[in-house]
Amino acid sequence: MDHSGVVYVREFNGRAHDFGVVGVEQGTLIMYDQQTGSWWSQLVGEAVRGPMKGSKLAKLPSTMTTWGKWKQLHPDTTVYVKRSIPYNSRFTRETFARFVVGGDDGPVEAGDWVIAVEGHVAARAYPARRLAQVRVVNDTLEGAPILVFLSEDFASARVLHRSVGEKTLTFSLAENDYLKDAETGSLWDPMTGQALSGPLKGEHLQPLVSTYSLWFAWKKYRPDTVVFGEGE
Amino acid sequence: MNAWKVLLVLAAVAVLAAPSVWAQRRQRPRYDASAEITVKGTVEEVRERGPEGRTRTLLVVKTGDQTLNVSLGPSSFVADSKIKFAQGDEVEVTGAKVNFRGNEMLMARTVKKGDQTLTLRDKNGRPKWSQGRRRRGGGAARGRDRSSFTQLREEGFPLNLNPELVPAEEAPLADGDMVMGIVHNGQVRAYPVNYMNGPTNEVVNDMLGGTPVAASW
Repeated sequence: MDHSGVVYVREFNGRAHDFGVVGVEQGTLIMYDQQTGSWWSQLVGEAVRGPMKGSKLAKLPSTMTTWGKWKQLHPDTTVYVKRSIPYNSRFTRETFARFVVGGDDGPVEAGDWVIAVEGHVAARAYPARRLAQVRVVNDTLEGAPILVFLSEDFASARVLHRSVGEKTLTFSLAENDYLKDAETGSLWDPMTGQALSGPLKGEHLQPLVSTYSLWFAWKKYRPDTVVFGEGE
Repeated sequence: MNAWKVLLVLAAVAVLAAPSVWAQRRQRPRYDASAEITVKGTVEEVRERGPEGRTRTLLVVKTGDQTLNVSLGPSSFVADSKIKFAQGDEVEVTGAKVNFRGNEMLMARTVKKGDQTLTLRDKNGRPKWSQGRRRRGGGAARGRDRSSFTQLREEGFPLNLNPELVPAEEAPLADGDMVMGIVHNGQVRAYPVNYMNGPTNEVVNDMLGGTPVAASW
């Protein structure tokens, strides 16, 4: 419903839980877990009903990207398939690109696509059409320097910590959808977070959990979210 | 997005949208960009018509020996512009001629007065006052605001357990297809979102790098 891909850790209270779908509530997907019968928001992973109400599932950093890009980055990937349903290419790079191309700079709207990031307390959202104009944002979340990246084909968004050890780095676009840091001139692949060449070659930037979501859905759960480009 | 949701949403949208589409058809003729003309003339009268609070502004413009009714749009929109119109103003109007309830009138796209221009519609005739609620800019497609849509099955849909996993070369995907990719504890997995259609497929209960995970879409 809100096109948000999220991977959750489905282990809590010392055991694994099996998750399924209850349906759609006010435009967002609601899941349940078989073992406690609680209902969970699929977007933020918070239990909205049942014995677990109020608790939150841990999210793991995942990436929306194209199959071509993913298998190039990770030739050793395994792939989930379901042979009982016919596969069709309904959701493609073009579907994503349409969300952001040709956008203007007006205030964020209900139907806007945002890349949302949560800190311990604060939340931020980067409207895709605004991000598409710059593609790289050097930002700070709760004092931590972060980097928000949108790929050239608009299909992949990544949020990474932009520090290595004690050193904070400032990134700008380089060729082939790579990034360069101003401090050392090293070349980085934001999709893997790895430095490919330069003084920091071999170093890694750690990913943050980010969620692609429609603004109306995200703001329902996190109305306190600060929107990039709309002041603090 | 998946077929199940699309159908439900389409049904809801159809129900919600039908009355307003009707109302629009009844009230307003369409702007035909191919019938566009530009005329110069003098404002004879500024009229406001329609129910209170929703009036529309109309200029009666004398051009040569002809008198033309020029429809500008909602009075609130016209009033928000900095341009005021009054009797005796010299104006240049670009718009499309339409026949509305037996009367010929000009639906204005732009009105020039001196060096000021009031733009009421874009090149395709789409009204400026309804933009922002619709697609804007250079055709950017937004997601639909479905915040009023609810459809729940109390007992839940069947679980999706024991996912089948294949190596990259056995996956029936095209390069441009979207996947949700994840690396966790050294294991690499792709969840093709095109498999995650419908309430029994939107959540995949998996094990990844020793961790029980639920991939959801």
